[in-house]
Amino acid sequence: MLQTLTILSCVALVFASVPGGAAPQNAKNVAGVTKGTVDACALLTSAEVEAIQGERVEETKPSVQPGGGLFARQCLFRTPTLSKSVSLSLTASDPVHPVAMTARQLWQKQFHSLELEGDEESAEGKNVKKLEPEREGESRKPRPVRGLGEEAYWVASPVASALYVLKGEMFLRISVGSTGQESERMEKSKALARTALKRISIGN
Amino acid sequence: MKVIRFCLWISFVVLLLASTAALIVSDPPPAWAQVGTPPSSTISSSSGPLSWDFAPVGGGTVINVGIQDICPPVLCDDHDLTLVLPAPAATFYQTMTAKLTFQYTWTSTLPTDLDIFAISPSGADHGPGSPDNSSTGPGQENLTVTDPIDGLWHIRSVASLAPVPTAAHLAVTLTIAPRPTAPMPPPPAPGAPTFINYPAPDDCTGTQQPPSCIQPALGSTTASTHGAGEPSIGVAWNTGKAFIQAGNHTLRVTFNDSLNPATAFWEDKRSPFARLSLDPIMFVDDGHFGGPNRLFTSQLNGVTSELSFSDDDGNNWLPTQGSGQPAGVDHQTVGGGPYTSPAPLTPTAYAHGIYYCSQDIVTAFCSRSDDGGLTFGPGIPIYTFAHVNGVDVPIAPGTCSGLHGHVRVSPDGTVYVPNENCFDANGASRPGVAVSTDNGLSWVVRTVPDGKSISPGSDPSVGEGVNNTIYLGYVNSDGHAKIAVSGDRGLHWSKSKDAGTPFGVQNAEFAEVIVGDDDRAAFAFLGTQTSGDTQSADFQGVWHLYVAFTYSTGRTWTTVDATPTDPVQRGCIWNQGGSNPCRNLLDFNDITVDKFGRVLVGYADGCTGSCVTDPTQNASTGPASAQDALATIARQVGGRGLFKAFDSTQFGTHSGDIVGHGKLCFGDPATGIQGDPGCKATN
Repeated sequence: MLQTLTILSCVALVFASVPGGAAPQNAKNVAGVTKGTVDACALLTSAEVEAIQGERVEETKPSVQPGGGLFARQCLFRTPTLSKSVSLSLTASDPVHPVAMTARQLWQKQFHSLELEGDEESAEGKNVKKLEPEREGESRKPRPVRGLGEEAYWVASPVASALYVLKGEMFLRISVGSTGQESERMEKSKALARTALKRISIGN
Repeated sequence: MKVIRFCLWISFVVLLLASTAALIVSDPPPAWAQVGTPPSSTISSSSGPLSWDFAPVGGGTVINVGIQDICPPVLCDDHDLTLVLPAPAATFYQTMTAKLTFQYTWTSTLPTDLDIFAISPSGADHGPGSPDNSSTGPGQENLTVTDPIDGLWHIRSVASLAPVPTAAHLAVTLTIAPRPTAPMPPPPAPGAPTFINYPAPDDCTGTQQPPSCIQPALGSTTASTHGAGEPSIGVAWNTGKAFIQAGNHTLRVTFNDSLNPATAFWEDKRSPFARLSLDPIMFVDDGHFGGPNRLFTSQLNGVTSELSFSDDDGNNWLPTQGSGQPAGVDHQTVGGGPYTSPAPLTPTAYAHGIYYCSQDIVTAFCSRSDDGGLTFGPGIPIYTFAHVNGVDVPIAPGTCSGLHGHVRVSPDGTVYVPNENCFDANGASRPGVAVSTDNGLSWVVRTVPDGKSISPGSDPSVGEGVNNTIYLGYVNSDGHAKIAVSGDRGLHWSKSKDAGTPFGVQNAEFAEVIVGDDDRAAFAFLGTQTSGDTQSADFQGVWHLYVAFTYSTGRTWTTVDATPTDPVQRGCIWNQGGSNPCRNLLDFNDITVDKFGRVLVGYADGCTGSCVTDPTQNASTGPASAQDALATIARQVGGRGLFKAFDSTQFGTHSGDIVGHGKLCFGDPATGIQGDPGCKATN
């Protein structure tokens, strides 16, 4: 109990210390972003995706995985070449049906219950780890990324890596399809995440 | 972040000090609970019930991270119990069964949760008892150990939530009875399926030459035939060649059906892009739904991952986007099939979508390739889960836990990813499937309403018929092999059928399903007639490979024992990762069908050599022959296959009768075998 109270106090302190969403005055072009509900497809424009991926967005495909007090709102920005598409999902607490686990708590469980690797500099394999017979244990190594949201992690996968960013009571996941190198995918993901985060700030 | 870290550090220190203080101010435990020899007693079939009192334990809230194994003073009290059986367990339990029952009670004035644990002579943990909850006033947990091994047990009273030190009482009973025999399975109907098992040969050495041995691939010192845990299997429909994955080696098998029984020629066609593997996956985009028979192998080696493919039966391989990338979170599966309408414009002539699905840190995702696996789109979440107390769990209705089975695609382009642990609309944990009807762009989760998740359990398996009927095979919470059928992409399901009933199967693992015509399916699983905890090092069950067939859209099933005289495993089958001795088989088997409707099951045989006939061997304790993982193919040689069009053609060979001179072998719980003369020669 003492621990819980202490952590709650600290979390409150953290919230108090985090700068509020610096909503720009010229946010008129952002549709669907309102307090409490965020349209994942409104977090990026087709032009922004095209600028990063080099192909126009042919379709935006929204979907929602609801329930349990959390909403995972997703949007696929599909380009003519599927491998240049972008998947974005935003996980947030459901203000209508709040339950025990908030998005922030889910983040804490997922990213802080694991032993994390050092830094993004190791993303290109400079910090190659010793091979172990533990499959899941070895591979569950998100890498911290600096300068995005409150926290950010890069989760590498052979075909579709993802960038996770925590901001307030939401977290963002961006996955960029590509034939390029992992470092290229990461930079593209970071650029898109920065743009999306501004819209989240506006919404909040 | 620094503020959070500082606060968490302060919290940790405060908690540590508080815990230490709690230990100091608690009543001193009895002297024997801290040092010296714990009290002891002996129980046997003639001793009658025993009972004793445990010393008070507790004085706070404890997060149990294996306390029962250490049994520290204050938090735990130990009693040593010697169990005597009329004969050593390995032989005694061949014909007899026993139950060691614990009734554990206490009384408290504050909400209290005490736990009872029984640590076997081999170190296996049993417990906590049930119900595992807190109560005020009288509290109770019951624990039953089936077929306990003889020797010294440590029986431990452990505090989970005990605001004040709380004593407990334990009553122990040992009951022994003859092992019940399952009802005699009905004799198979004429034309019942029969199998011949083809184990991979050992590496060629010295002057040895194939086919009596296998020549390791160029650059390899072994073909890894004994390292075939979690094998995948596939058949190239254009050439008839079969493939089974053994670690990072893709083994090609050519059957010669001009001989009866057919002979098998094994070759190691390892991809040069498949280095050391911890997560081997193989997939053949076969002709079942019009695939061009492209052969994929995906390897995760902890640092990098390799995905490569071959269009000439493994003679030449090409790397894809999935090669050479640093691998992160993963539990990958590769599959493919037709696109749903409208099909996307694809950059190449490759007609099928190829899907790579994998575990991510918060979600599982699937990524689609429109160029035959060369490049993939972004990873699209298929559900979200949470990592709680070291276990991935679904977070809400419509979501599943982290680990999933193999992705499959039906002829209409619907994509399915099965999962053992999904939440239904009421929040109940059930086996289910993540379903995409738009070529993997969005997903929903659908569950089997009469299925209950088992934990820890192995992956379920989904198969699709030519007219899109799907079958989901799974291991139910009671350990039984169940299968349900849906004609509407998982929205509604038939009542689940227990495919192990004819053999009295009490525990099953590794459900694998393949479908041919819509009304015909095969469901393979490892099964044992022994009940109890399959995760326990003490488990004495003997496992066989069973294959159940339906020719009536799941209304009735005919089950055969494909390994009647050769157990696949003796003892436990470990489902919880890591390096447990019983993890030799790893996480799954696989099943496929050739173009004639013949079913082939790829499995790792964990019991080879002397283990086959020696009941004292056990995966938990060895020797190596009881901890093997030998690449083996059970190939259907008789009975009706999965395509009606080939009935009475003996799988296209037009030779032999309906049973094809295969050995008609099926299980008999009394003798272990029944069927044709010479059946025992099948292995």
